[in-house]
Amino acid sequence: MVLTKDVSLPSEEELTVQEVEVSTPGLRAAAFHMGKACENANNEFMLCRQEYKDPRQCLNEGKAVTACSLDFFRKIKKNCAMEFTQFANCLDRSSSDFSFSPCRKTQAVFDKCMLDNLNMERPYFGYFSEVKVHHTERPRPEGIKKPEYPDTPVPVPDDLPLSPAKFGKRVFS
Amino acid sequence: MDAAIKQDLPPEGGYQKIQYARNPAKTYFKGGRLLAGALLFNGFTTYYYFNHCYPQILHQRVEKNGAHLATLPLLLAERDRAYLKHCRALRDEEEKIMAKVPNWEVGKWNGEQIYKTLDKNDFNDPILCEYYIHAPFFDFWKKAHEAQIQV
Repeated sequence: MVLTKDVSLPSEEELTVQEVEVSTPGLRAAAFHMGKACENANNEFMLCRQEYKDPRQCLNEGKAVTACSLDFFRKIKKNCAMEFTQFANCLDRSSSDFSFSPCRKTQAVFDKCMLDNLNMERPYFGYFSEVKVHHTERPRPEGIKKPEYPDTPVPVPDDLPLSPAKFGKRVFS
Repeated sequence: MDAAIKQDLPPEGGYQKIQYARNPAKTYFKGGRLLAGALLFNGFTTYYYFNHCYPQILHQRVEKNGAHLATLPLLLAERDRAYLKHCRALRDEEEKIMAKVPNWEVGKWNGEQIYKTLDKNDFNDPILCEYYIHAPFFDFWKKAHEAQIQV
Protein backbone atom coordinates (compact mmCIF):
# COMPACT_ATOMS: atom_id res chain seq x y z
CA MET A 1 0.00 0.00 0.00
CA VAL A 2 1.10 3.59 -0.56
CA LEU A 3 0.74 4.66 3.08
CA THR A 4 4.09 4.42 4.84
CA LYS A 5 4.82 4.70 8.56
CA ASP A 6 5.69 8.40 8.05
CA VAL A 7 2.10 9.27 7.11
CA SER A 8 0.27 10.35 10.23
CA LEU A 9 -3.13 8.72 10.44
CA PRO A 10 -5.53 9.54 13.29
CA SER A 11 -6.11 6.85 15.85
CA GLU A 12 -9.23 4.75 16.23
CA GLU A 13 -10.47 6.77 19.24
CA GLU A 14 -10.20 10.06 17.37
CA LEU A 15 -12.34 8.71 14.57
CA THR A 16 -15.04 7.07 16.64
CA VAL A 17 -18.05 9.30 17.32
CA GLN A 18 -21.78 8.67 17.53
CA GLU A 19 -22.92 8.43 13.90
CA VAL A 20 -26.30 9.39 12.51
CA GLU A 21 -28.01 6.06 11.97
CA VAL A 22 -30.79 7.13 9.64
CA SER A 23 -31.48 5.39 6.35
CA THR A 24 -31.76 7.07 2.95
CA PRO A 25 -35.54 7.80 3.04
CA GLY A 26 -35.12 9.45 6.43
CA LEU A 27 -32.19 11.56 5.25
CA ARG A 28 -34.14 12.53 2.14
CA ALA A 29 -37.21 13.45 4.13
CA ALA A 30 -35.31 15.70 6.52
CA ALA A 31 -32.72 16.92 3.98
CA PHE A 32 -33.99 20.46 3.45
CA HIS A 33 -34.63 21.29 7.10
CA MET A 34 -31.37 19.67 8.14
CA GLY A 35 -29.39 21.53 5.50
CA LYS A 36 -30.88 24.81 6.72
CA ALA A 37 -30.41 24.04 10.41
CA CYS A 38 -26.78 22.92 10.04
CA GLU A 39 -25.87 25.27 7.23
CA ASN A 40 -22.89 26.87 8.93
CA ALA A 41 -21.27 23.60 9.99
CA ASN A 42 -21.92 22.08 6.56
CA ASN A 43 -20.42 25.00 4.66
CA GLU A 44 -17.41 25.10 6.98
CA PHE A 45 -16.76 21.40 6.42
CA MET A 46 -17.19 21.54 2.66
CA LEU A 47 -14.94 24.61 2.42
CA CYS A 48 -12.27 22.84 4.46
CA ARG A 49 -12.63 19.75 2.29
CA GLN A 50 -12.25 21.81 -0.88
CA GLU A 51 -9.27 23.76 0.44
CA TYR A 52 -7.16 20.91 1.78
CA LYS A 53 -8.37 17.99 -0.37
CA ASP A 54 -7.24 15.78 2.50
CA PRO A 55 -9.63 13.87 4.80
CA ARG A 56 -7.24 14.12 7.77
CA GLN A 57 -7.36 17.91 7.98
CA CYS A 58 -11.12 18.31 8.35
CA LEU A 59 -11.98 15.78 11.07
CA ASN A 60 -13.12 18.36 13.63
CA GLU A 61 -15.33 20.12 11.09
CA GLY A 62 -16.77 16.73 10.10
CA LYS A 63 -17.48 15.89 13.73
CA ALA A 64 -19.28 19.21 14.11
CA VAL A 65 -21.44 18.35 11.08
CA THR A 66 -22.34 14.94 12.51
CA ALA A 67 -23.07 16.38 15.96
CA CYS A 68 -25.33 19.07 14.50
CA SER A 69 -27.23 16.55 12.36
CA LEU A 70 -27.57 14.18 15.29
CA ASP A 71 -28.96 16.96 17.44
CA PHE A 72 -31.39 17.85 14.67
CA PHE A 73 -32.66 14.29 14.32
CA ARG A 74 -33.09 14.03 18.10
CA LYS A 75 -35.26 17.13 17.98
CA ILE A 76 -37.34 15.57 15.21
CA LYS A 77 -37.72 12.36 17.17
CA LYS A 78 -38.93 14.29 20.17
CA ASN A 79 -41.40 16.55 18.36
CA CYS A 80 -42.39 15.23 14.93
CA ALA A 81 -41.64 11.51 14.99
CA MET A 82 -44.97 10.39 13.52
CA GLU A 83 -45.08 12.96 10.69
CA PHE A 84 -41.43 12.33 9.84
CA THR A 85 -41.88 8.55 9.68
CA GLN A 86 -44.96 8.97 7.52
CA PHE A 87 -43.13 11.20 5.03
CA ALA A 88 -40.06 8.97 4.92
CA ASN A 89 -42.24 5.92 4.39
CA CYS A 90 -44.04 7.66 1.53
CA LEU A 91 -40.73 8.59 -0.11
CA ASP A 92 -39.52 5.04 0.27
CA ARG A 93 -42.55 3.38 -1.27
CA SER A 94 -43.85 5.81 -3.88
CA SER A 95 -41.04 5.66 -6.42
CA SER A 96 -37.83 3.89 -7.21
CA ASP A 97 -35.65 6.99 -6.82
CA PHE A 98 -37.05 8.78 -3.75
CA SER A 99 -38.89 11.42 -5.77
CA PHE A 100 -40.59 14.16 -3.81
CA SER A 101 -43.41 14.78 -6.26
CA PRO A 102 -45.70 11.85 -5.23
CA CYS A 103 -45.47 12.82 -1.53
CA ARG A 104 -46.67 16.42 -1.37
CA LYS A 105 -49.44 15.68 1.13
CA THR A 106 -47.27 13.98 3.74
CA GLN A 107 -44.61 16.59 3.08
CA ALA A 108 -47.09 19.36 3.90
CA VAL A 109 -48.00 17.63 7.17
CA PHE A 110 -44.32 17.27 8.08
CA ASP A 111 -43.57 20.90 7.16
CA LYS A 112 -46.44 22.14 9.28
CA CYS A 113 -45.26 20.12 12.27
CA MET A 114 -41.69 21.42 11.87
CA LEU A 115 -42.94 25.00 11.62
CA ASP A 116 -45.25 24.71 14.62
CA ASN A 117 -43.04 22.79 17.02
CA LEU A 118 -39.47 23.63 16.06
CA ASN A 119 -40.03 26.92 14.21
CA MET A 120 -38.07 25.61 11.21
CA GLU A 121 -39.28 26.65 7.81
CA ARG A 122 -38.59 24.70 4.65
CA PRO A 123 -36.15 26.75 2.54
CA TYR A 124 -37.53 28.07 -0.71
CA PHE A 125 -37.22 26.15 -3.96
CA GLY A 126 -33.66 26.02 -5.30
CA TYR A 127 -32.08 27.26 -2.07
CA PHE A 128 -29.36 24.62 -1.97
CA SER A 129 -28.52 25.01 -5.65
CA GLU A 130 -27.55 28.66 -5.20
CA VAL A 131 -23.99 29.90 -4.94
CA LYS A 132 -23.21 31.04 -1.42
CA VAL A 133 -20.39 32.99 0.22
CA HIS A 134 -19.27 31.51 3.50
CA HIS A 135 -17.46 33.65 6.09
CA THR A 136 -15.09 31.67 8.26
CA GLU A 137 -12.70 32.34 11.14
CA ARG A 138 -10.42 29.51 10.09
CA PRO A 139 -7.12 30.75 8.59
CA ARG A 140 -6.21 30.09 5.00
CA PRO A 141 -4.34 26.80 4.52
CA GLU A 142 -0.60 27.23 4.07
CA GLY A 143 1.72 25.42 1.78
CA ILE A 144 -0.66 25.22 -1.16
CA LYS A 145 1.27 26.77 -4.02
CA LYS A 146 -0.16 28.11 -7.22
CA PRO A 147 1.45 26.48 -10.26
CA GLU A 148 3.87 28.71 -12.18
CA TYR A 149 4.43 28.50 -15.91
CA PRO A 150 7.64 30.44 -16.72
CA ASP A 151 7.57 29.82 -20.49
CA THR A 152 4.09 31.21 -21.09
CA PRO A 153 4.12 33.12 -24.42
CA VAL A 154 3.86 36.91 -24.17
CA PRO A 155 0.52 38.14 -25.50
CA VAL A 156 0.65 40.08 -28.78
CA PRO A 157 -0.17 43.80 -28.39
CA ASP A 158 -3.29 45.03 -30.16
CA ASP A 159 -1.51 47.78 -32.17
CA LEU A 160 1.21 45.54 -33.59
CA PRO A 161 1.85 46.52 -37.24
CA LEU A 162 0.97 43.60 -39.49
CA SER A 163 3.22 43.01 -42.46
CA PRO A 164 1.92 41.19 -45.52
CA ALA A 165 2.47 37.42 -45.51
CA LYS A 166 5.93 36.43 -46.69
CA PHE A 167 4.98 33.51 -48.88
CA GLY A 168 1.51 34.54 -49.99
CA LYS A 169 -1.70 33.01 -48.72
CA ARG A 170 -1.65 29.51 -47.33
CA VAL A 171 -5.19 28.44 -48.16
CA PHE A 172 -6.03 27.16 -51.67
CA SER A 173 -2.68 28.27 -53.06
CA MET B 1 -56.87 -55.50 -55.18
CA ASP B 2 -58.90 -54.78 -58.31
CA ALA B 3 -59.78 -51.23 -57.46
CA ALA B 4 -59.90 -48.97 -60.50
CA ILE B 5 -56.86 -46.83 -60.81
CA LYS B 6 -57.75 -43.16 -60.52
CA GLN B 7 -55.11 -40.73 -61.67
CA ASP B 8 -54.66 -37.48 -59.75
CA LEU B 9 -55.61 -34.79 -62.24
CA PRO B 10 -56.48 -31.06 -62.13
CA PRO B 11 -60.15 -30.21 -61.52
CA GLU B 12 -62.38 -29.75 -64.50
CA GLY B 13 -61.80 -26.42 -66.10
CA GLY B 14 -58.28 -26.21 -64.71
CA TYR B 15 -56.80 -24.62 -61.59
CA GLN B 16 -57.60 -21.07 -60.49
CA LYS B 17 -55.34 -18.42 -61.88
CA ILE B 18 -52.48 -17.32 -59.63
CA GLN B 19 -53.01 -13.73 -58.58
CA TYR B 20 -49.75 -11.92 -59.02
CA ALA B 21 -50.90 -8.35 -59.69
CA ARG B 22 -50.01 -5.83 -56.96
CA ASN B 23 -52.79 -4.74 -54.66
CA PRO B 24 -51.51 -1.59 -52.91
CA ALA B 25 -53.26 -0.02 -49.93
CA LYS B 26 -55.30 3.10 -50.46
CA THR B 27 -53.23 6.27 -50.02
CA TYR B 28 -54.69 9.16 -48.11
CA PHE B 29 -51.81 11.63 -48.22
CA LYS B 30 -48.91 12.06 -50.53
CA GLY B 31 -45.76 14.10 -50.80
CA GLY B 32 -46.20 17.67 -49.71
CA ARG B 33 -49.26 17.15 -47.55
CA LEU B 34 -47.62 14.28 -45.69
CA LEU B 35 -44.47 16.34 -45.09
CA ALA B 36 -46.47 19.34 -43.94
CA GLY B 37 -48.49 17.17 -41.56
CA ALA B 38 -45.38 15.59 -40.09
CA LEU B 39 -43.77 18.99 -39.57
CA LEU B 40 -46.92 20.33 -37.95
CA PHE B 41 -47.24 17.37 -35.61
CA ASN B 42 -43.56 17.52 -34.72
CA GLY B 43 -43.74 21.24 -34.06
CA PHE B 44 -46.75 20.86 -31.81
CA THR B 45 -45.20 18.07 -29.74
CA THR B 46 -41.94 20.01 -29.40
CA TYR B 47 -43.86 23.07 -28.22
CA TYR B 48 -45.85 20.97 -25.77
CA TYR B 49 -42.74 19.25 -24.42
CA PHE B 50 -40.75 22.38 -23.79
CA ASN B 51 -43.67 24.32 -22.31
CA HIS B 52 -45.39 21.67 -20.21
CA CYS B 53 -43.22 18.58 -19.65
CA TYR B 54 -39.68 19.88 -19.45
CA PRO B 55 -40.28 22.54 -16.74
CA GLN B 56 -41.64 19.81 -14.47
CA ILE B 57 -38.63 17.60 -15.11
CA LEU B 58 -36.30 20.53 -14.42
CA HIS B 59 -38.17 21.35 -11.22
CA GLN B 60 -37.81 17.79 -9.95
CA ARG B 61 -34.16 17.69 -10.93
CA VAL B 62 -33.33 20.91 -9.07
CA GLU B 63 -35.22 19.74 -6.00
CA LYS B 64 -33.47 16.39 -5.94
CA ASN B 65 -30.11 18.06 -6.45
CA GLY B 66 -30.86 20.32 -3.50
CA ALA B 67 -31.67 17.36 -1.25
CA HIS B 68 -28.44 15.69 -2.34
CA LEU B 69 -26.35 18.79 -1.66
CA ALA B 70 -27.97 19.26 1.75
CA THR B 71 -27.10 15.74 2.91
CA LEU B 72 -23.70 15.52 1.23
CA PRO B 73 -21.62 17.01 4.11
CA LEU B 74 -23.08 14.56 6.62
CA LEU B 75 -22.43 11.54 4.40
CA LEU B 76 -18.97 12.78 3.44
CA ALA B 77 -17.94 13.37 7.05
CA GLU B 78 -19.04 9.87 8.00
CA ARG B 79 -17.33 8.37 4.96
CA ASP B 80 -14.05 10.19 5.69
CA ARG B 81 -13.90 8.78 9.18
CA ALA B 82 -14.64 5.23 8.03
CA TYR B 83 -12.09 5.61 5.22
CA LEU B 84 -9.27 6.73 7.51
CA LYS B 85 -10.13 4.01 10.00
CA HIS B 86 -9.88 1.38 7.28
CA CYS B 87 -6.61 2.83 5.94
CA ARG B 88 -5.08 2.58 9.38
CA ALA B 89 -6.33 -0.99 9.78
CA LEU B 90 -4.83 -1.91 6.41
CA ARG B 91 -1.45 -0.46 7.35
CA ASP B 92 -1.41 -2.28 10.69
CA GLU B 93 -2.40 -5.50 8.96
CA GLU B 94 0.40 -5.16 6.43
CA GLU B 95 2.89 -4.65 9.22
CA LYS B 96 1.66 -7.76 11.00
CA ILE B 97 1.61 -9.98 7.91
CA MET B 98 4.98 -8.90 6.53
CA ALA B 99 6.79 -8.91 9.90
CA LYS B 100 8.83 -12.00 9.04
CA VAL B 101 9.87 -10.85 5.57
CA PRO B 102 13.39 -9.41 5.77
CA ASN B 103 13.99 -5.79 4.70
CA TRP B 104 10.30 -5.15 4.27
CA GLU B 105 9.16 -1.59 4.92
CA VAL B 106 5.47 -0.83 5.20
CA GLY B 107 4.16 1.15 2.23
CA LYS B 108 7.42 0.86 0.29
CA TRP B 109 8.80 -1.41 -2.39
CA ASN B 110 12.44 -2.42 -1.89
CA GLY B 111 12.85 0.54 0.44
CA GLU B 112 11.58 3.09 -2.09
CA GLN B 113 8.51 5.24 -1.81
CA ILE B 114 5.81 4.71 -4.40
CA TYR B 115 5.48 8.44 -5.12
CA LYS B 116 8.89 10.07 -4.81
CA THR B 117 7.93 13.69 -5.49
CA LEU B 118 5.43 13.90 -2.63
CA ASP B 119 6.23 14.87 0.94
CA LYS B 120 6.52 12.09 3.48
CA ASN B 121 3.38 13.11 5.34
CA ASP B 122 1.20 13.63 2.25
CA PHE B 123 -1.89 11.48 2.22
CA ASN B 124 -2.35 9.44 -0.90
CA ASP B 125 -5.49 7.53 -1.70
CA PRO B 126 -4.69 3.83 -2.01
CA ILE B 127 -5.94 2.29 -5.25
CA LEU B 128 -9.15 0.33 -5.03
CA CYS B 129 -7.75 -3.18 -5.18
CA GLU B 130 -5.32 -2.34 -2.38
CA TYR B 131 -8.12 -0.83 -0.34
CA TYR B 132 -10.18 -4.02 -0.76
CA ILE B 133 -7.22 -6.37 -0.44
CA HIS B 134 -8.58 -8.23 2.62
CA ALA B 135 -12.23 -8.06 1.55
CA PRO B 136 -14.19 -10.66 -0.42
CA PHE B 137 -13.76 -10.28 -4.17
CA PHE B 138 -17.44 -9.63 -4.77
CA ASP B 139 -17.35 -6.55 -2.51
CA PHE B 140 -14.48 -5.17 -4.55
CA TRP B 141 -16.31 -5.93 -7.79
CA LYS B 142 -19.44 -4.16 -6.59
CA LYS B 143 -17.47 -1.08 -5.54
CA ALA B 144 -15.53 -1.03 -8.79
CA HIS B 145 -18.72 -1.01 -10.85
CA GLU B 146 -20.84 1.43 -8.89
CA ALA B 147 -21.38 4.99 -10.10
CA GLN B 148 -18.86 7.36 -8.58
CA ILE B 149 -19.93 10.50 -6.71
CA GLN B 150 -17.61 13.33 -7.58
CA VAL B 151 -16.66 15.59 -4.69
